[in-house]
Amino acid sequence: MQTNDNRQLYLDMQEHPERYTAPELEAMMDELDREPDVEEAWQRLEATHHTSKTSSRRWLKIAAMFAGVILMAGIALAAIHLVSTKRMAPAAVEVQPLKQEPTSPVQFDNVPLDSVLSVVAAHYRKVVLFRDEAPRHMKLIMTWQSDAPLGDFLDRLNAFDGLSLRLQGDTIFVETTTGEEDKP
Amino acid sequence: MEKMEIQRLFQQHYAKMLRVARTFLYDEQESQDVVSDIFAHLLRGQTVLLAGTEEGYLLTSVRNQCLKRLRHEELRRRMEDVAVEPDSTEPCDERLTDIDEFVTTHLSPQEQRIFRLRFADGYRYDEIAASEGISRVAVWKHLSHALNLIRNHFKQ
Repeated sequence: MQTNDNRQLYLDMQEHPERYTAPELEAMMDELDREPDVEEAWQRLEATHHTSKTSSRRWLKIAAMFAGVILMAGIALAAIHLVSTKRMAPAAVEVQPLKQEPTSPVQFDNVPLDSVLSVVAAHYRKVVLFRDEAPRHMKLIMTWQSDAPLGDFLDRLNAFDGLSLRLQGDTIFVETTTGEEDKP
Repeated sequence: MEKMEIQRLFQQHYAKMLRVARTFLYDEQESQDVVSDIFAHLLRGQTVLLAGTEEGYLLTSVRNQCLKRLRHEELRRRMEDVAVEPDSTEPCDERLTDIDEFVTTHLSPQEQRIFRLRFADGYRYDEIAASEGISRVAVWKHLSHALNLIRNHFKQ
């Protein structure tokens, strides 16, 4: 699973399985399902994390310096901070539950929208796609009831000016809006 | 989130997450990077995942990161290929919406199940085969058929 030739073979096997024998397909599946050495992978991660910790904290401080504040009125009243820097890591999950129970309300305290949606989408088993970059960095202070329908939460987010979220199939599409066409 | 708790999640979900990444990327190093990045991020932040949602969050994160990498790769290829004009292809996200809708409306219930068990839930081929009562090769062919339907439908 290392070379372009192998990747081409994988794609060809997907497209034309009839060209391959059962043992060849089995071999490809064995490779795709090969069990990793989890312990070794964890040790590698720990070593990498240790060396990158300092620079990551420095980046967070720089990001905070660029943060601006826009107050938004919604059902839950939230503050959205627009961060103009580019993110370097996948969605953060800086969530602080108000209570310990799994179905209790979750308080997002100054958490970027993409992190909020990562948690919420995972709960409802949806995928999030940002159609532009700006909304990723909006920071929210709001409460999420994890036992409420997803539509209720999206409606609350859609109450914010300039933000549009749409659920289609298993995907939540997020984008900014410039006009008033998407607002009631 | 405590380091020990993150380590527990890592030990529990790493293999499954890696399978999903391999299925999307078919590149061992890139797949390992995607999964490691997600856990590295958990290690950096003050993170709490709701009980019962950890696996969903982790697998969704893998899919999002894989899609992001594939989009970057597609963009890079497009920029390198002078024969393709940038405006001639629709936005990737737009296409993904259509694909999602296509899966729901055009694939048989069994193919939808198999497609999601592999691409969304990271089950092994033998697990899917056992759950559907068919052979592993049959699982591969169902997935192949589903992907070919998607490919042909969206062929310009």
